[in-house]
Amino acid sequence: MNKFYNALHNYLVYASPFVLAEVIWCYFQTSGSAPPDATLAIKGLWEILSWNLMLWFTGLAIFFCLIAFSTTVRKKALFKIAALKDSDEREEYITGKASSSSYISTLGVLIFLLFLSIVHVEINRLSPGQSIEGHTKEVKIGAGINIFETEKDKNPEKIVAFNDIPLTKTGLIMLILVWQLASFNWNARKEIKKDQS
Amino acid sequence: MPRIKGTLPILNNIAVLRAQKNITQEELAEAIGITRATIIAIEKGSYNPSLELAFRLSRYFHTGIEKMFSIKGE
Repeated sequence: MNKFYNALHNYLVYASPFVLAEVIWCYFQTSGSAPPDATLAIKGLWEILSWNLMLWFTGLAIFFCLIAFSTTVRKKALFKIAALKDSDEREEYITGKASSSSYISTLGVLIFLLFLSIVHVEINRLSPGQSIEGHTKEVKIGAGINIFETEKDKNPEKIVAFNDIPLTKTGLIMLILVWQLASFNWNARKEIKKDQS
Repeated sequence: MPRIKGTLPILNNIAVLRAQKNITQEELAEAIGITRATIIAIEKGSYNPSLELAFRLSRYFHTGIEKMFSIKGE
């Protein structure tokens, strides 16, 4: 596990400049493939970088799965983020404090974003015929929650199409909120159980 | 029972004990199994060690915990 984690971590770090290069190249090369008049070397480089890009994102997905489910990997990643070289009780204390602070601040930001995404405020100017008791402006305040994106493209020929996250902004914020709360709670319970056993 | 409010300002004489033993922070850290940064933080008083680490230090210096750590003003 350790060897796999180290190899994956090193690959993600050292391959990132090539991923960035491919992303920049893709940005300017809008056709999605190497230029048709390019030399064999350029075409080869495009292929290698493209495969590297796919591999890198697969690696990243595996890395995030490991972070989500493995305590050891999570600890190691946390130490790297906190720029700590060795691990002892003080480092754990630091990362613990930083985690709880960042958890609470993220939660605050998410709740604020959720509030912004569900609240609807509108100030309209009324036409002369619509004015009520001399008032020429109206304020509309409302709230609404839409979690899933409504399907826009209804092409019967399409069997499977995946373009984007099928969630609205509100849905996405709510998902992250629930994930944050649930993962923190689950991890805290796990630690408590460990202490009791 | 009177309620103890706030944090207790804990002092320690690790730096003195280390000087008496004529060892560096690095050597002490290695002997105890912690990082030098932790030794620095303990000596400065910015970090209070756990009970386990306090016992490890007390064993290393062959002295009691209460002789290494004290509460300011007591």
